[in-house]
Amino acid sequence: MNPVKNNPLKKALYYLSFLSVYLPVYLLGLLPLSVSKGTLGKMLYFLSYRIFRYRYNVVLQNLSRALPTKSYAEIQQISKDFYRHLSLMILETTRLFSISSSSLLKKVTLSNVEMVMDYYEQKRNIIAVLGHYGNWEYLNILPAYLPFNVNAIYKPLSNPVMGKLIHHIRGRFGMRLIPANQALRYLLKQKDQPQMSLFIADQFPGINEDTKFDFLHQSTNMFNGAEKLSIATDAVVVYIDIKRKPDNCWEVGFSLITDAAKQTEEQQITRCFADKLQETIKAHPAYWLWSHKRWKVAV
Amino acid sequence: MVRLKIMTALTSNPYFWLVSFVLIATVLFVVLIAYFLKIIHEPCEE
Repeated sequence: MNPVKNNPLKKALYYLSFLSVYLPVYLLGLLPLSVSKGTLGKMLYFLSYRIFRYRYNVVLQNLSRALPTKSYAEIQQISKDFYRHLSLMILETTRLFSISSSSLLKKVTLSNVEMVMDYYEQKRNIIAVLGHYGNWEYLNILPAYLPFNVNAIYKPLSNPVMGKLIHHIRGRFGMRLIPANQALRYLLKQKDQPQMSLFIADQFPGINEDTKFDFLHQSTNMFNGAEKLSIATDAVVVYIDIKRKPDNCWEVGFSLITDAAKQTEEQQITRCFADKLQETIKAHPAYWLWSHKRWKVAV
Repeated sequence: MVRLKIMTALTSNPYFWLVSFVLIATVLFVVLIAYFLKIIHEPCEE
């Protein structure tokens, strides 16, 4: 039973809180790009990096452990670039509240999409795995590019107002949002209808001895839900790589992990994903979400 | 009386409104960004 639905006062408060966040963010997203990414981007970088030092110790510790061959000066430079990227990413995300589909299509280009289309023509389901890399929220435009349904498997947020905000921006261009705990049932039900399901699979999954890998020079538990789902539904597994282009646009690339999930060895898909993500991170480290406490528990 | 005079002088000055607007906008901006940072990090760290 949802207490918000049954209590008019709570319902009014809920909508009021939603509007009090939604309206300022919507207006922020309407600002010209030069103001939003230029002035506000620099201001946000200054506030987060210089003034508040937002999770600075976490970022520095993660970077030093993950990239042991880098010197201290290089680590500091990467951390600065990361804060610049984080600031721009947040401002880009605020634009998703108001940006039109045609404008967003110009900001995102796809590479190797032919591979995905080939599997679609073979009527195969596709599970796409990715990390918290680049601006993953820009993938919300994928349904406008692809001729089939695109689902995002997500973990519901604890705060209903935040949940509604995220639902709003993710669903604006036709993305279907499936809570992680309902994903298996949903995908099995829709098995005969080829579609793509996106998984962000680099978050901390809790401690589990079976899913422990060496990732970025550290013993790391990886989320293996995508692997389990792909085996259960015999889906093709692809990796999504997001690259920032010099003109502040994003290139979304697809590469194959396996098209025979049922024949793979245990943890092979998760291992392959971890290797690919590691390569992506090492190529341009500043674009990964270093501020999350990925290794908060020693495994 | 003195307080009233100060308030009248302040509110008739356009810079007072400009500075107030900038301050309120900055606070709002910081709160919104904090909100976004929470949205970004929460699913990764449960």
